[in-house]
Amino acid sequence: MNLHKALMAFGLLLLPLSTMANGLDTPAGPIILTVSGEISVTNTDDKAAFDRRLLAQLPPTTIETSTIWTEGVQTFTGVSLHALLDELDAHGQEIRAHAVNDYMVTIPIEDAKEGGAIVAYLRNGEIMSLRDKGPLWIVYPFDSDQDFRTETIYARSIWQLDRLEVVK
Amino acid sequence: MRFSDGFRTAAFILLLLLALLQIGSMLANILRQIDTLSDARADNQIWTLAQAEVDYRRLTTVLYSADAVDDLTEVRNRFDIFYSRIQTLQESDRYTSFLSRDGFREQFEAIRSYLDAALPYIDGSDTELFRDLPMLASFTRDVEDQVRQLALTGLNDAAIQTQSIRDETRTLLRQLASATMLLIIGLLMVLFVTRIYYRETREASKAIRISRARIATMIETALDGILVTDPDGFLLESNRAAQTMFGLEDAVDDLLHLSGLIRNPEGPESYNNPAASGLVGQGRKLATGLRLDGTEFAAEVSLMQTTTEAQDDIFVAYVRDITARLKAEADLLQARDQAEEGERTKANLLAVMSHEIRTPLNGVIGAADLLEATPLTDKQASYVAAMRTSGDVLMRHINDVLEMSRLDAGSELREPQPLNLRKIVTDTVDSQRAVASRLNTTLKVQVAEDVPHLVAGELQGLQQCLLNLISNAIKFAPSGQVSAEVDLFGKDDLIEFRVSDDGMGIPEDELPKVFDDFFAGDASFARQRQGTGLGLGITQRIVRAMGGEIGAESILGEGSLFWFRVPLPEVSTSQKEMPLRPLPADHMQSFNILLVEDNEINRMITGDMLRNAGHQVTEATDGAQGVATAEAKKFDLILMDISMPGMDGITAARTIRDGKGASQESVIIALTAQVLPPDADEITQAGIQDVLHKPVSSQALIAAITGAVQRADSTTQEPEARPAGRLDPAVLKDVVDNIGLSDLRQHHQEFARDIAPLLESLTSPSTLTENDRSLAHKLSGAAAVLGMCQMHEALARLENTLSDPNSAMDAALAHEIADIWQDTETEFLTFLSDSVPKTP
Repeated sequence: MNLHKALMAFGLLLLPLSTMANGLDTPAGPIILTVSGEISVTNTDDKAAFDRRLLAQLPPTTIETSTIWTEGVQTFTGVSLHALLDELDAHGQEIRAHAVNDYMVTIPIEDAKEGGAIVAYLRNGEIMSLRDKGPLWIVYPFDSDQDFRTETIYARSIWQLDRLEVVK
Repeated sequence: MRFSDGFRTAAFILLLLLALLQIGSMLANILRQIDTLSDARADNQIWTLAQAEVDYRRLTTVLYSADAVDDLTEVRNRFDIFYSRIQTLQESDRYTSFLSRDGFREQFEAIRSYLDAALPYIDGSDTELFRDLPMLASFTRDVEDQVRQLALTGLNDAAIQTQSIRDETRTLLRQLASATMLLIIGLLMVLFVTRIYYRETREASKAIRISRARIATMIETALDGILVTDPDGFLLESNRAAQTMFGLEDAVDDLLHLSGLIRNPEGPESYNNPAASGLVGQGRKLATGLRLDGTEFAAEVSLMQTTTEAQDDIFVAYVRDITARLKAEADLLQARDQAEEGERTKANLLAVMSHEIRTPLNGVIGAADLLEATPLTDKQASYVAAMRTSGDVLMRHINDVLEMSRLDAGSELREPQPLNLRKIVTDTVDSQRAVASRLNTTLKVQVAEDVPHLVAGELQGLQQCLLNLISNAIKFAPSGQVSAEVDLFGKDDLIEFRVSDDGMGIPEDELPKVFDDFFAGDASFARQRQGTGLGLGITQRIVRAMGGEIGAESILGEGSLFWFRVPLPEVSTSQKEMPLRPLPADHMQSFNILLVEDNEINRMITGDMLRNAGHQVTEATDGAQGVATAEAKKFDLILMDISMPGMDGITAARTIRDGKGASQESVIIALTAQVLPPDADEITQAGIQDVLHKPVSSQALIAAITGAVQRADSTTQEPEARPAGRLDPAVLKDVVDNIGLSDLRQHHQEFARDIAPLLESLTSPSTLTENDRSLAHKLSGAAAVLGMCQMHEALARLENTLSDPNSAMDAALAHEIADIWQDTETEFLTFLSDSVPKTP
């Protein structure tokens, strides 16, 4: 039992080292997210491009919350903005998020924190289509805190996301 | 109806709480509303709705511009984005209100219908989609108005909503303002009330401070030391007086214990444990104060216990330094003792002076007496009479003063004797009849029927009081009437004597002063009556000495009443009454008298007085000569001066009594010029029957002689009256009554044991010693007490015989004693066994 836990811990310690050592894999499938700007880890030119598989390899976070745009409590699964930027060793002050529908919003880097926003790729366990606000949706845990139920946060909750730009 | 402070406060607090609750709920409501306003759930509906039109326009643009299969991806994307937007409007509850609105709903339904209809084309194959693109574009254009309407409706609605929000905000702000207002008013009220309470509290605390300051001042300025201790007796506080008293200034107070400051000199209670000492609340107690420097002082301590809220059972000790008071008391006592000493010295001086004045005065009066008896011319006789009168007056004055000092010196009255009251009163009145008749005053006597025949009292004192009052009354009622009355007072054996006259009376303001010394009414009267004014003072002293009281009543011009009451208990008639000192007698017996007196003048005068009274007188000039004369010849009576050079009168009298001379049994009367006579016991032991104080008038001298000889006669008859047996039953009964039978038996056994050696010695009388004499003396006394009357008498004779070195021991007496003892013992044992209570 203890041995199992110890091995797990050891494995977890090794995991980031291995990815760091290997850098970011090159995406094989269709690219659904491109991160550019002040990042150190890249895989395509000076950008980090993710297909669905690459995103799913990052540590996943699940949020259960209702939103003002959907009916009932939804389960969102994705990578937290914090983990994503960590992975890419980002050093910016804010993130410019762009949507397929030409929507753009600036998110301060402070929102990329533990228990904060995630870049969701699953809604209720299913892939989100473009028709269904997919493929990516930045979701905050609205139900967990009054502070997440503000106009500003709603504006930052960008759906049909396809690009992130980390700026100084 | 007045509410209590507590109720008022509680009501106020309740009211305040209600108001706060109200304000609180209002604020909560406002906050909720603010929440609602700030909550972005409202979203920017306008933007979303407007964005729907933008998405729609992009879609149509793409639809019309697409001219290759490659453009289809963009067509699909744009459709999906528009679809997603409309889907959002449908799913989000934000837009429920729009959707439910008339008009809007139809337009929205039309858009939905379009999307549903377009889906198969979009989701179809690229070929089909590309083929049907123009048709799809046409479809799409058909809902242009509806999409436009959607955006406009959203705009209008937003305007209305904004207005409503503005109104809500205004209401909210108004409510907030009122709530704030209410809160301020509430706070002001709280402030007001708090201020009132603060003022009240400040007043109260000020009052307390003042009261405390007063008490503190009272305590601080108290002359008594005040010590306050905790329940265990350790000092908590002390005032300045206590600090000064005990020298506490530099001491650490809380280490001091009460017992280190106060000690209880008397009794077992101590201040070690105040609660259990038994000294609490006992009032002032004498104590010893202990100063810190080790010195002590006399103190008075009052220990109290107090219960306070802060601490129960504290003790408060009030301490007073009474050193000065004790010293003052001691000084006072000393002053009193000195004053008394002075008084005694004065009395002694008077006593000594008496001898020095009275002896020569006696000579003068006596010489005048004798001169009167010689043939004189009328002129000479009147001179002698004047001389005699003056001498008598002077003598009376001196006697009064001396009597006074004698009474003041505390000479005790003699033992009460059985007295015939009627005879005393009658005789006393009779003795004054001559004087009364000269003044033409009538005398009356009345003794009440129920006055006892015989009472126990002091003869001389009673006679003197009656005489003083009666002679006084006669003086003040010339040609009037004087009555002497005797009544039972009816309480405590008191008998009341009243002497009344119908004379001039005494003014009311002088009445309280009549018993004062040297009081004699007005001065002219005093001169007229020739009195020292001591008579009533003397009478009062005697009455008081007898345990009685005296008083006077008077009406000016109608007469006076003097009364005194003395306790005179009745005695049984079986007791012998005291023979009266004979008052002036007409017929005198003739006695053969030996006069022993060293003072030549006194000897001559007294001798002549006796001879004038018809007695035969033999004179002796000192004690030794007196004894020798008495031994040689038998006298009926011997007059013996007490103070004589060489052998004094008492020694001489004793020598005569102890001797075997002819006058051994004669009556002896002592003469003394000393006010304070020698010890009564000494006189009795010397065998002296009576004492006369010099100077003696011929009347007093003759009366004393007659009385003494008469008593002596009756004494000689006494043996005949004695019981015939060996024992005196009256004495025995008295003893049994007083000490009980068992003690009597024990005394008898002791007596029998003690007499045995004496009886043994008596078998050879020639060997009797001084020890035997003293044994005989002791046994004689014991026999008298035990009622062995014959034994007592026989042993007394034996003692006398042995005391006289000249007399030989008589063998017959030894035999007689042995016989008497045998009979006495038999009778005594019979008496004892008879007295034992018979058990049935």
